[in-house]
Amino acid sequence: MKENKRFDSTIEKLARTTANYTGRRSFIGKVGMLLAGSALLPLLPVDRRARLGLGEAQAASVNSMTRERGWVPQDKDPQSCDYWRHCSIDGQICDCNGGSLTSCPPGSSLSPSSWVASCFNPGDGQTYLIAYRDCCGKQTATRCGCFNTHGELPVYRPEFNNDIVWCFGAENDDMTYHCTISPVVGKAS
Amino acid sequence: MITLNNQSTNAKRGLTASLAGKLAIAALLVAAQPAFAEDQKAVPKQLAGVGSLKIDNLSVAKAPPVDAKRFYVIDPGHFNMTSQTYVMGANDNKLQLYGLIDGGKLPHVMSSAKFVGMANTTYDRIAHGKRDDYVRLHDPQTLEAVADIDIPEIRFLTGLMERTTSLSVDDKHMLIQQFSPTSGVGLVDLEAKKYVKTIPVPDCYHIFPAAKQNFFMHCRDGSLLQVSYDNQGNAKQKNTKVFHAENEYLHNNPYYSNSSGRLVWPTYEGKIFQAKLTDSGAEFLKPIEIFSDKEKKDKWGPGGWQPIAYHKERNEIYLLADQRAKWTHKLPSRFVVVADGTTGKRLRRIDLKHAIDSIAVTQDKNPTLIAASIEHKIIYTFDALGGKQLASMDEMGKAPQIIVTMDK
Repeated sequence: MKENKRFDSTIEKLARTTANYTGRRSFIGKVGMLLAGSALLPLLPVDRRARLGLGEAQAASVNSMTRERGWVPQDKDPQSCDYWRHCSIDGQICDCNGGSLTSCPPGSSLSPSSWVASCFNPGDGQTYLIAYRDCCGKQTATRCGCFNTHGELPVYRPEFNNDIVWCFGAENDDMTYHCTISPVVGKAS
Repeated sequence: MITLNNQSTNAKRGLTASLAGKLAIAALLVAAQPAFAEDQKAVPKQLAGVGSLKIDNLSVAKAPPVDAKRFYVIDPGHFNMTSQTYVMGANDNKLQLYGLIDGGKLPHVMSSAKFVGMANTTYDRIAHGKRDDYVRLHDPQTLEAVADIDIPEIRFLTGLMERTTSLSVDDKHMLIQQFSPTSGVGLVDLEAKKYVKTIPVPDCYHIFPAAKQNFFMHCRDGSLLQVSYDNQGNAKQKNTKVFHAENEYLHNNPYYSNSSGRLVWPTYEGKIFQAKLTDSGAEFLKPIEIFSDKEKKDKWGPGGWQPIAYHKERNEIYLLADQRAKWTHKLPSRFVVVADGTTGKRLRRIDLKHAIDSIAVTQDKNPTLIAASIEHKIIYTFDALGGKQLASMDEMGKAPQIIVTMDK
């Protein structure tokens, strides 16, 4: 029995250590590498569908996220907070501030790090993986501020958290938030 | 010649006018002389009163001493480069604004009877350039900086989370979470006014201090990490049991008391996990389901930026809540449900009548519930027991987001 306890203790310690030291860092590292090589982007090692039931991902409308209605995406206006790619944006849409859905405004720095979300596109009925990237090195942009939290997880699950200033690795270490772009990096299925 | 003659005539007229003017000034000065001579020590007599008022004495105001009704509201201005902290009081069922303290990007503000602690980040070229992180302690009455401590550029910059930086329970140290490039906790010696070192930690978040130079963090696997440290930053670490499931997502802003070690932490769905943290370890309390099955069916759930408060002496949990769709856990709510901290029994429900993002409760015998609306930039106070709205104050910056009350 004594040996079994020691064995259990060792395994437990090993499991905890592995869980604590390999989670976020390796994930962020992998995300960074994958984003650098666009061909590999759809292979991000995240189980994206686990958190979103198919049923809740099917709704399609043109209204913004509210407490009563929740997230109801549309696929017509990318400068509106309820555009489907913005399902987990907490910040300003770059498309309204001199950038686009996939490019930062002039003079800002594109961060290589990102957080991810699974967003349902009502246009084709598919769910896609969005790897949000912050544009950095300038004051917070002023237009199209959105606060969407569909599928957003707490800070201890940082890869799904939109409260963090995701400017790690931006040029000149510009850890200041300007706005966010919403590139598709793969299908979430 | 005609012109010259005219000029000559004009010159004579000018000399005459000039002479008359000088005589008039001299006469006025002579007439005024007795008035000045009468009292040359202070203010001229004819200026000593304006109607029935006396001359104003000018000064710089001082806030009253810290009491249980003191609180701070932090306005980061939506990730702005500068921020403001409102120093406030809730005495006499009213709201007092004592003054403001400037801050940098996404500051942390910590209350103590002795000082107001702030951790800041600025850049030397507005929003880029060289980053500078530092800690400042402000006198709680004059609000002037009494200490300015440079630290490495380690601060974890997020939408404001009260507990990613913390004072130790004896106010001797400040503990600052680092996220990148590796996880760590920066140790700052406030008495020696110096940064000590950054203690490496695993993938864990938030800082909950306990006595005898201990603190706890919440780890990704659902356990707490207990860290004991000495004055040089040498640390020992051990994990508690896993106390919540992976799919029980905990809000970013729990309630924690440095003085009692009480941790109260709601999930997105309204389950309340609690623990008492001491240097001996963590004692986990029985989780509370704050909503009945019927309420859950009616879509009741917690929501807001700072959605929970706790009154220590009354052992009451205050949870910001509303009927809501799934994944709206950070959108504002219109109600506060109050429950017993041990049994979870519902004690009352307060109808705030406003969409509120953040709440806190003062720790005195007649507690005040403080509520902040980010969208409307208004601070409200309520009688925490009766639920009646007591006061409100508008024009509270750009986005008043976090409320810090006095713990002891």
